[in-house]
Amino acid sequence: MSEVALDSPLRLALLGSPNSGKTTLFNALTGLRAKVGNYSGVTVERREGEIVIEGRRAVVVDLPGTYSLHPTSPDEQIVNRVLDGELGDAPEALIIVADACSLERSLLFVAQVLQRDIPICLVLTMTDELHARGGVLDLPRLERALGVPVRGVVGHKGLGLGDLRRLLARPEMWDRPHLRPPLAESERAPWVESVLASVLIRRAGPHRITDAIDRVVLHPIAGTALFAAIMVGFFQLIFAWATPAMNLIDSAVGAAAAAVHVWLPPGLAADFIADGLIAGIGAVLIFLPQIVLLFFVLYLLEDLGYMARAAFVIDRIMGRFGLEGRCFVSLLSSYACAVPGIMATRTIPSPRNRLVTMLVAPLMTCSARLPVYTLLIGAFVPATTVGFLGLQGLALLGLYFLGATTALAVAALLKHTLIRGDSLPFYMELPPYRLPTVRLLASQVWGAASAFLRRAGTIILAVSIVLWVLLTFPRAEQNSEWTVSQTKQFGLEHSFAGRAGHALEPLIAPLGFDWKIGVGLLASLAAREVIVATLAQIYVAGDSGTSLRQAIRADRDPDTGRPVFGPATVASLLVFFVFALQCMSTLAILRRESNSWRWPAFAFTYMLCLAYTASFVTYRLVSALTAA
Amino acid sequence: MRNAAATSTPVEALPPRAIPLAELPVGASGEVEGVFAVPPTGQRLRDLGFHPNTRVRVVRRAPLGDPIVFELRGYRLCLRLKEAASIRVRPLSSR
Repeated sequence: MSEVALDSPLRLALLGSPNSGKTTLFNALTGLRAKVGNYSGVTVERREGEIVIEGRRAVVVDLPGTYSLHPTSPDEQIVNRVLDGELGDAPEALIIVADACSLERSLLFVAQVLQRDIPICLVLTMTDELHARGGVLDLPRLERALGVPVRGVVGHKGLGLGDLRRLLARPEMWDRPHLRPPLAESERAPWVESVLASVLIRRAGPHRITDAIDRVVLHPIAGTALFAAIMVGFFQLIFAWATPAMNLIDSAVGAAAAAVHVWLPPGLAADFIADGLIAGIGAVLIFLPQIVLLFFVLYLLEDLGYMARAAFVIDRIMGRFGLEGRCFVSLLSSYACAVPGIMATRTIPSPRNRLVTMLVAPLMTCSARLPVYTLLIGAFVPATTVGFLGLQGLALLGLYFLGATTALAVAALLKHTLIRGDSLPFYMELPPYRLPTVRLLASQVWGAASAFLRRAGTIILAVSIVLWVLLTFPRAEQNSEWTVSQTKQFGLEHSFAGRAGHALEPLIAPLGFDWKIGVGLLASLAAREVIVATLAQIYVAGDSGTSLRQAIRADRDPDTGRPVFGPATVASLLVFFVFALQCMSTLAILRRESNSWRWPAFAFTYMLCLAYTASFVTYRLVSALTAA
Repeated sequence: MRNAAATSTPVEALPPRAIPLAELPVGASGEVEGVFAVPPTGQRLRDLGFHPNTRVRVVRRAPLGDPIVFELRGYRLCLRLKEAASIRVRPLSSR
């Protein structure tokens, strides 16, 4: 062997179906040193880890989970392209990972992989579970029947890993099959039968714990109640329990900005660092508590085996809208925030359903809309009651309802038009209930959080700084007689954004908005709730909500003398916020998850059209009603 | 429809008539005769293990009737009625 060959790392690829324990084995082999990325041009995740075995460097590639090498889904196309060396160097050896308890199924896949002319070995996972269920497999006989090395491991306990590592160091030495399995698909199942007849000494019995749990979890009444309870708890967790951590980050960012103003001389540099840079970093960090919490619970439920059951229970309803059960969790998460909601679509295997879910997720009423709703409803909806329900609460509920129904309607529309049908049927494995290890959970949560920080975080930070520039420049003339807030107000009105607000007025006048709301809408492109702070600056109301509430109530049009925030304008503005995608973080995460600017552009455009039309209709309708 | 398996059992001499998997009642088992679906769906169903002579058991239905959980080849899988209707099975008499 030449020097060069010894220096370049050995490339090993892990192949196997979802739920085969492939990821657990990957983590056990590589530790937490995995590099996560995307295959170019597609949304399929790419995971690689470098290890040293017996003094030899090796790169382990974790290929997407597949049931077959027939290139019917994007995941399988990727697997085929990686094996053919079309995406980087082709692997030099393949490791097939299969669940020992469902060898009967996995051997169909093994038969396909064994057609490839490179060193192959088979790793059987969950061998402890096989024994616990009374199953007995003759591994030496399986090795002889297949003609390739076979090893049994218990990935999460690390059993059999030393032996496997020694094997992986020398793929050149692996046995190759003398006789390949039949090529024809119709002969594959009989081949599997014949192999099993000689190696499967005793079939594994039923997974009794799973059966017992499923009797409750999938029971028509108890199961539905449990589903509702878990979803409410899940919602509560990301909506309410993340708030303390978010407030902490918020006040830390505020304190850091204040400290900059104290330590640096007043001027552009201090303003930039405090209001541009630190505020931008804060805009990124503020999402972390929700993302970490959401993915912790999401992966916990997924690894336990509950997520598949939840999708099973709700699938019928989601099917009505052209979606499937697994889309539900993502839409529910979007009530807290569309960013983790869109990230949660990774658990949806169908690329079309995933895309549709990502595109409608921003219509779910996220927590960033709440400050806007609270301000407007608090200021303009009378605090009376209808029956035993408060009118303000009903208005809020109505806005939530409007967002959710629109999301489902748009999903159904998209599935019937642009992103039609599915080439693949709906299918979902119901794995046995298993306790995940802390290590597996930690690596999954870390993967999600770090991907968010690297990919979306950089875009969010960049856009924050651009918006700061637009709201700050050109600099207003200093007038020593003005108070700080008067200077701010004057600066804002004459900034690029302020001028754009004025320029925008003819466009947004049909919706009942004046230039001040226009500036607020522009600023809210950063994040919806920013409109509250921007209006506060314009109305020189400071940051306290109540005084802003009074200020906007009292504001009158200088020409007509009528209130700027009339009932029609308020209703129109609320409807605008229900529909418009004013959130750069959502756009950034859409870009990251769909791997192109095309879909964020599409989502932004359709939601803006929807918002504009709905606001226009609302404004006209309420104007006519109040005039009458 | 629900009694398909029950009515075919008394006639021991004749091989049981194949019925769509979607019509097999909960708890009953059958042997796959074939998958009758357009290529991507048919291909995928075979990849998932629905080859001729594979034993399939109906484990349970979702609370709203659809989808259905099946057990085959040592694992559990759920399919919607629509796809389950394209798989034909010969009901096996229980026990």
